[in-house]
Amino acid sequence: MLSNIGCIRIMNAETKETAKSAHWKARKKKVLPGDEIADDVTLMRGHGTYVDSDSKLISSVAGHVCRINKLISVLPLKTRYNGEIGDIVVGRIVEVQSQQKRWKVDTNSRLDSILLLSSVNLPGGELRRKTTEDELMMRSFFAEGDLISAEVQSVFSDGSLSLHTRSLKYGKLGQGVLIRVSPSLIERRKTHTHNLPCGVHIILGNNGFIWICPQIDEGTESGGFAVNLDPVSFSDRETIARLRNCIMLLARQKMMLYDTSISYCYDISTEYQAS
Amino acid sequence: MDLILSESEKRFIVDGVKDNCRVDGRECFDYRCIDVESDVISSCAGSGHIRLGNCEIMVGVKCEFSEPSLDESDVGKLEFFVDVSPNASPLFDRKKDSISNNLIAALSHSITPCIDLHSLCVEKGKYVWTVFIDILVLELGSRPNLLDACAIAVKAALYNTKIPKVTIDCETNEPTVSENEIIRIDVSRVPLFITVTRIGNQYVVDATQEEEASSISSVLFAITPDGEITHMKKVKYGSLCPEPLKDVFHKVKDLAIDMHRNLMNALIEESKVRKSTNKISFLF
Repeated sequence: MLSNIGCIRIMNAETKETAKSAHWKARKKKVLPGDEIADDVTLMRGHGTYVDSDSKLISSVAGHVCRINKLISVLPLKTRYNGEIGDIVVGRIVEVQSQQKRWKVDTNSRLDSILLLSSVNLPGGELRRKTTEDELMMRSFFAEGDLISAEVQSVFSDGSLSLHTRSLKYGKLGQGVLIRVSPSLIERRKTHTHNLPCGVHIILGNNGFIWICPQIDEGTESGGFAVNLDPVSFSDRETIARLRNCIMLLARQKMMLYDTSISYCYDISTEYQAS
Repeated sequence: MDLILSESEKRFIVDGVKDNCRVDGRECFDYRCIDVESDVISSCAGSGHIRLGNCEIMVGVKCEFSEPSLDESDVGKLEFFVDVSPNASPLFDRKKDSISNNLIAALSHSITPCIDLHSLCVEKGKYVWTVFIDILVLELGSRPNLLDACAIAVKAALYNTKIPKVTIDCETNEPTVSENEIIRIDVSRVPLFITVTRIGNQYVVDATQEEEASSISSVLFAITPDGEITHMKKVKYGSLCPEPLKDVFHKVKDLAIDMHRNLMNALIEESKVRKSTNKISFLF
């Protein structure tokens, strides 16, 4: 008996329905905590499972079953980010540790990730030695609160990640919007940065952080230190807002997020108001 | 932990407010969708539940017999209590007391004078009703809209508060509770709160957490259904310019009158629906 007294919700059930692609239905078996996965004793049990008294394999989380040969694990629907090498992530700098020559980055994983000064492309010169001046200027490259896009370079034994931004694709992010969703909703694809047809650039971080910003012209990527502070045009802003709301809705309905699902949802939403 | 934003993100938000197109596509004086539900706790005299963006608040109203104060022997009392649990937001861990005291002060200053306390008198000089209003913050979206949501929930809860009619036997002083007759609290003058947050040189209502992080100050207004401002307070340290504030007054007033009307319509509609369905309690 909820009654609406404020503004209008953007999209109705119709939109959510149509965006439900066949892909999602074809996904692996979904389980709830306590559901039986298998009773074959020869299987190995992975994360998110346990064996009960009848030697049956039971799920301990809500998610979908993932089987690699004999190893069965359940990937939870709502989770922290477990990094893998080569993943593209979006993160926020939380600490500058110039003594240790590194930044601490919040990437939605259990431990803060680390970005070493030596794994950053510094302005001026592709590859050069890092001097003590650079160490002192660390805060001017990335300060607390800055958002960066980066790639996972390695995973430490405790599960924390080491990142690198040694490419012009990565680096500091300028004006735009950050959305946080569960990492399990990001579809793993070949590319995670897209220029969508609606004129917006989007980075779908594997860690569940999604960055939406106005389109960047090809070839002008700065490797991320110079940030454009010019005002964004009204139409761009409206598109970004609409796209943000689309993604929030898809995430609320637990739809997988990738370029096609997002632009499909965007196209449907055009008949509704952006807010 | 407070949210830290990078300079460029703040810039994006501030420019957006200037263009009258906020990050989620709203205009400066748009609220998010507000879901209100009343009479959700069966053991309370009245209750309300609200969801505004991420903010979720539950209000329970209970009434108890008490002795009136000596100087005013025929008025009842209104007691507010706010429970902010650290579960709702990590912020409540540190600033718990100051946040709840601020809320209690603002609500009791503005709402108590707008209720006819004489109607809460049972027997002059002997018994009055004390109305306890317990506010439970289940989830905190952002600080600015917490008070707005509280006020709506309190109004919804007071609207459906049913106090049994009690008659006192003159000789034995024995109270008898009437089974059928109930007193309702008149909420027609209870104000709603609107918090406007200053971002750049513009003002917005219902700021999100990101917007709060890029704002410099905010002002809260308590406005009655007639458009009268009964309470006003500035929060945070930033300065305010008097000229644009005048414009804000008018906009906020219109918005509040609208909200009052919509809320009352929703509550009346809901009370009609309830008669046909038989609801048990919250979440059932």
